[in-house]
Amino acid sequence: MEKTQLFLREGVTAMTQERKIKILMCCLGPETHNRGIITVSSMLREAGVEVVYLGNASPEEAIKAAVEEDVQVVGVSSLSGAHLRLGKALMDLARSRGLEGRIAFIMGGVIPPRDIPVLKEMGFMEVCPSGSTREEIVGCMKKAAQVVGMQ
Amino acid sequence: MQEEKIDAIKKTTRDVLKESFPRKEHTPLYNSEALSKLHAGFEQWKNQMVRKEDLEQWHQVPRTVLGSDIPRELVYTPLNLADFDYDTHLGHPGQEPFTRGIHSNMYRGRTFTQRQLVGFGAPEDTNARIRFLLEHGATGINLLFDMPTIQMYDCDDPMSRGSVGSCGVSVNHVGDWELLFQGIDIARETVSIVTHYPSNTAILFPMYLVMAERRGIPWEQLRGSVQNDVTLEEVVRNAAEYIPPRDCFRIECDNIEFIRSHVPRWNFITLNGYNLREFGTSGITEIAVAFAHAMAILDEMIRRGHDVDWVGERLAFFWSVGMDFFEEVCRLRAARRLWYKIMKYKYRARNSRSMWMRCHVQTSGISLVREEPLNNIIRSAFEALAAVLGGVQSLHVDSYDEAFAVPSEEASLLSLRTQQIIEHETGITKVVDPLGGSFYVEALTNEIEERIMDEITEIEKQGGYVEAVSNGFLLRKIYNYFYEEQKKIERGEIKIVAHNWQKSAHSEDIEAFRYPEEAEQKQLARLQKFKSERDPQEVESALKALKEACKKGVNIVPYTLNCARAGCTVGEQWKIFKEAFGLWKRPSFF
Repeated sequence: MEKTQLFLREGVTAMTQERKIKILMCCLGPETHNRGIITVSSMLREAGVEVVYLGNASPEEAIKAAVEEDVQVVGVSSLSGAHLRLGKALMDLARSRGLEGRIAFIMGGVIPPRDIPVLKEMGFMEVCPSGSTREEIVGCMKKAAQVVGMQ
Repeated sequence: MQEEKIDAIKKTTRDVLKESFPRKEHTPLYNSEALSKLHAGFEQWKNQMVRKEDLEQWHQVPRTVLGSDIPRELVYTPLNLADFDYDTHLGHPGQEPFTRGIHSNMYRGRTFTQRQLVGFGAPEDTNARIRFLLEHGATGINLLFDMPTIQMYDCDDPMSRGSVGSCGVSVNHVGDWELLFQGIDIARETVSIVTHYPSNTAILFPMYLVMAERRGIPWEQLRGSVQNDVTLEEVVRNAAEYIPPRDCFRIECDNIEFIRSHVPRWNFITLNGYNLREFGTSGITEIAVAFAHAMAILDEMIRRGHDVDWVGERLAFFWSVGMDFFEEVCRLRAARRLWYKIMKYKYRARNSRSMWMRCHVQTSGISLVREEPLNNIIRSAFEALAAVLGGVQSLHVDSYDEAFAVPSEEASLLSLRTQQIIEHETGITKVVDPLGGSFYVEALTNEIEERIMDEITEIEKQGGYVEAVSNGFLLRKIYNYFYEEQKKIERGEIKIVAHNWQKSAHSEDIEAFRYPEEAEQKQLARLQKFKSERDPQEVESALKALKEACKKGVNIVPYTLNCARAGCTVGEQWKIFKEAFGLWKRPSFF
């Protein structure tokens, strides 16, 4: 419940066809690094996206908030090397709740190149490793929202 | 008396120093006749030799990652140091004001400790890496915990699932400590335990003490450090749950008081500028926050009835060293001089040792990039060189593969080799403070000292360090800094080779470190077994006593020590803190 305090509702809303773009940003588990997630959240907000900033959450909490907030995209920031295990837990949960295709999942952070195809295989639509530019990050998240919106 | 006290609170540190700094007989190095002659020649040189565009852009700001934006002149001369007095500004090495270093012989006497960070997987995984580094000549241990441990969740907490052993070693109880240090002589090695936060210092360090106790090693023999820093727990940390800054500060001071009394050779705090700066701020803010914080600690310790030297002798600092080479060297020198002034003329310390700004430094992780990762070896080596020229006591060099994963064994060894090459092959450790006396270095050192003082004043005007944490001032300041920095990188004002300038055309993979797969399962089984073997009543009463101590306001460390002996886990004790202090809603940074 306390996390609602952190939600950002003041983001300017942008319209894609009929739905505005709304993205949930989170770190899974006890991840302690947050410069990345804050920077990306700010970039998205500047690009007119409504950002729900969840901060740290378990996969269950992230899925629950994504459904309640009715977002098109969930952005996950991972810097501590747990991306495969936590990514799988998140995607298994998403699949079991029938969210596949309804919500797009994108991972960013310190991710070795060889893990990128593994994450996509799990169901992440896109992976933005450290070093990705603003254009790449905002572009892929907006595109993900559009893909979901069309389904 | 009462009035005097209130007056002292209102005065900024700058005001206090202005009043108490002695006006000694001043002996400038450059006499006025020489200076006026030089001035005339310099003007003539400017007119005849320097191009118009260079005169117009006489001051330029080096744009670097985590830089301070201090403008630099085209060239520096004695005119920048008209007032320069050797005794006031420099002093000999090991002499006040310690600008040139805290020891008279510096690295000839004792080299910088080569302390590479280690931590991943289960305790036995990290134990093997520690032994590997010690076998290859590392001179200290530097221990990092995994995400669940650092955030004080046991490995069987739902929050920990999937993260056990990531980015550090998993430790839940005393049994894990014993495994972690198997075959390592803790009476001989100095051990830096990177606990980061006051809360987990209070929980984890007593477990280390209990391990020593069981090995029959008296606590007086233990040497090393914990971090124990409110800035890390309340500002830098990303977490689901925080306790209020006031309570966190109290735990920090409880740790200091306990460790100082019972483990006398242990550094009870390492004021951590590093992680604050790497989160995203300038080297000036890094030092200003750590110094303002250190002063808050001294004030509280004096309030608790302790002597300033008793505390001051063991205060240690931890800095990040970034890419702006001369700024980094000068920053270390300026910090030493300013800390000396604060200790001697604000706190009236009598013991030289308490006036020393002793520090461990780590090269900047955020300055390393993913493109062409081998370039990171060069970046880290320059940063390490600046650190040694700045006269640090202890060093960690980041590894080239850190934008991909925690360092591989090979990368970790390469970092250690970087230190050994600096020490044994470059010859720079033979002369103390070799850059001292450079017009540029001395002028920049002066400027940086002034700017650190400006930012200390800024924090004091917020109502002091704890208030600047509580009201969100520090968070906002950092957020603004790194957001602006991101834009400078995007615009190409800050150039990072192969990242945003001369961008690499080919993407590459490196054989990044792979975590041991089975760490989580091993730790879960181990925790279950450990819990089944302890006395549940003893556990319960130890936790109950801890909760009462938290609420009563007595020093809590004897109670966490009791918990460690009874076999309480990290997560069980953190739960008590949360119940006793309640949760704090951190101000938003947006």
